[in-house]
Amino acid sequence: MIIGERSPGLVQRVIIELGRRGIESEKMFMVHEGDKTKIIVEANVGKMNGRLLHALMGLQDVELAEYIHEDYYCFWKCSPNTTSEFLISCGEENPSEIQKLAEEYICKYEKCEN
Amino acid sequence: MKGSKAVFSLLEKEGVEVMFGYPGGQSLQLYDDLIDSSIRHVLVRHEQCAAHMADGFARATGKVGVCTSTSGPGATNLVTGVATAYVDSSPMMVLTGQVPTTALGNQAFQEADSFSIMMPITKHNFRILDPSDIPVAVRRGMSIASSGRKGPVHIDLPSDIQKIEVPEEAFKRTYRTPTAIEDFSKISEAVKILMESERPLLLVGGGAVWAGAGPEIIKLSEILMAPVATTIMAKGIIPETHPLSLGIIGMHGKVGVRKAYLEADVILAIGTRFSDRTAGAQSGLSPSTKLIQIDIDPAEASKLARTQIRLVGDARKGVTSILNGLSIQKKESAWTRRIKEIQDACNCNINIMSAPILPQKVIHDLNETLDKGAIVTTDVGQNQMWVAHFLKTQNPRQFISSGGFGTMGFGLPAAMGAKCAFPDETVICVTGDGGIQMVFQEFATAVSENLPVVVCVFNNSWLGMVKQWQKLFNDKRYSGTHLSGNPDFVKLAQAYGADGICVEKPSEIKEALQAGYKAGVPYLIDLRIDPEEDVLPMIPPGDGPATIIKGRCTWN
Repeated sequence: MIIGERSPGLVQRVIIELGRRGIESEKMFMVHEGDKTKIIVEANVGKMNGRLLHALMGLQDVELAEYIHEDYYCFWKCSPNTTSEFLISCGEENPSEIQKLAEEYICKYEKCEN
Repeated sequence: MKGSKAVFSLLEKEGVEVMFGYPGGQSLQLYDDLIDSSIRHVLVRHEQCAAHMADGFARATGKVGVCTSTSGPGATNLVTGVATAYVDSSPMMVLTGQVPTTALGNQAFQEADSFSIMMPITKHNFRILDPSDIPVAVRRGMSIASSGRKGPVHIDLPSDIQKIEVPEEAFKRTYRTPTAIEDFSKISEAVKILMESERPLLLVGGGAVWAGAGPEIIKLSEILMAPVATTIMAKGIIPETHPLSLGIIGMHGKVGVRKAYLEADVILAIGTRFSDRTAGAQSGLSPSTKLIQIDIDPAEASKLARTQIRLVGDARKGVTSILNGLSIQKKESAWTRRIKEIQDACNCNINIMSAPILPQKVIHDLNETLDKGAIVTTDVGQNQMWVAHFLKTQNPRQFISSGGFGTMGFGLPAAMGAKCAFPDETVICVTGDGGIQMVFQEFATAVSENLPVVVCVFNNSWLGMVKQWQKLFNDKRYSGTHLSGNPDFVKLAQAYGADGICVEKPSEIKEALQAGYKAGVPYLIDLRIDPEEDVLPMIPPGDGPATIIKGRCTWN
């Protein structure tokens, strides 16, 4: 997860840095929250370990880069129309609540009845 | 104050004295306000050279070099020079004009997305969409360029923004300065390893030059009685006549340096990233060799899995901390005697008076005639490696070369940038007949701006380094490397108002050099060198030290 200032080019810089370091990204999610930008990337970091975090922290507007620990839940869903994936919910606290939220959204999207 | 005037006012306050550039439609306002600025403008003949000149200025002084161009092709012409600076961590401020904000994204005339183009080759960049952002962008940009691991910063200035008033309060705005990551927690461990080592060696890279760590490194090497190997980026960090100076390591480094590197039991790497062309091939290192690495960039420190101690921070600070922890002066030992033996055995068996001229003879004469304060820049290829190998530098920043990016055409404009900074010093550019033809037009700049540099062209009618690789690794199948139809370089220089001489005999070199030093105008020496002379020794790409091609090297 990368958190930085909401400045022009931040997301582009992160993508370039990941590409430059040979990191293959599977999924990426970005949201602006006030004057901050949060980016969550699912990627195979290979042998980069902490050096990748340092490289990302080296980007001027990045304030935090860290690996999300195991109890951080992200729920993804593939759109039946476009086949592109989108993030439904993310969080590290109350995983059951997040899962519930995710299921609600999936249901809303797919119009299922619980 | 209008946007463009604010830019110059802020740069003046940052201490900028010179800017290298080329105007255009989208930087008209900038150039109008430049008339009233105290900043000297050097009008180049191609934007790429503006970037190289700013880079040469930065490398010679340690200060931020400034260059500018218009939008579109002007900005894209800067790219090679900016990338060259980025790879060698050279501080630079790059200002580009841009189409008006109302035209952005419309494929307007001379529009390029300079912001995105520059992003991967700059430390940071700004696109100014509001004149209120100018003060922070300039001040923060200068700070970013010159702090931490230095590098170029780019500011893209749409032409309408240049003309709009910057509100007074915008000059009072502050910006966040992130705390530099520093970790010297393992200093005492590093000191212990160094004190206990029997065969310590210092491996020094460009980061040490940018940090100004030369005196501390010399002191450390003398206390530890540790020899110093440098990358070409740190050539001169210790005088190359110092008994503990081994010289350069790398693909074309000295065999003796490689030997010492492999025999060391502890290597203290300072400001070096173990690039593939320097000390990257480590297969020959003993598994018991301990590596201690000091690097200001935490993403570089410990890049190698074998690093035992990782120290993150400024090279000078790191070395000083180690010095403070050392309690005893090491004495002559089996290791110092071994180093002496290695140095004595590492010689090149060259008859420098043979004809045609050998490049080694030219450098021999440079060593004999240059003052201590002289600056030597190189192009890229054989000329670069010959100078790196044979020139005896005395000071850091005396040898300026495009190390990481390997940019042909760098030498002449870099020399001109250095000459701007040090007009009273002799500045030499050693280049090839390939590289000089990429930037020859800058003789016009050198003449009109009164930058009397001496240009030594190693003319062998070949793209020599590529030819050498074709000779050694492609079974002499020469392809695209013969430079037929070279012009008369001396006449060409004279056509620009410079002067020069063609030299074909070894005995004429020294006289030609001295004529160049005294010429008072840019001076080109066309040296007809032996086209069959290769840069040796050489470690073939991807191979280890066991496969060194020695050539005239007599070390065994």
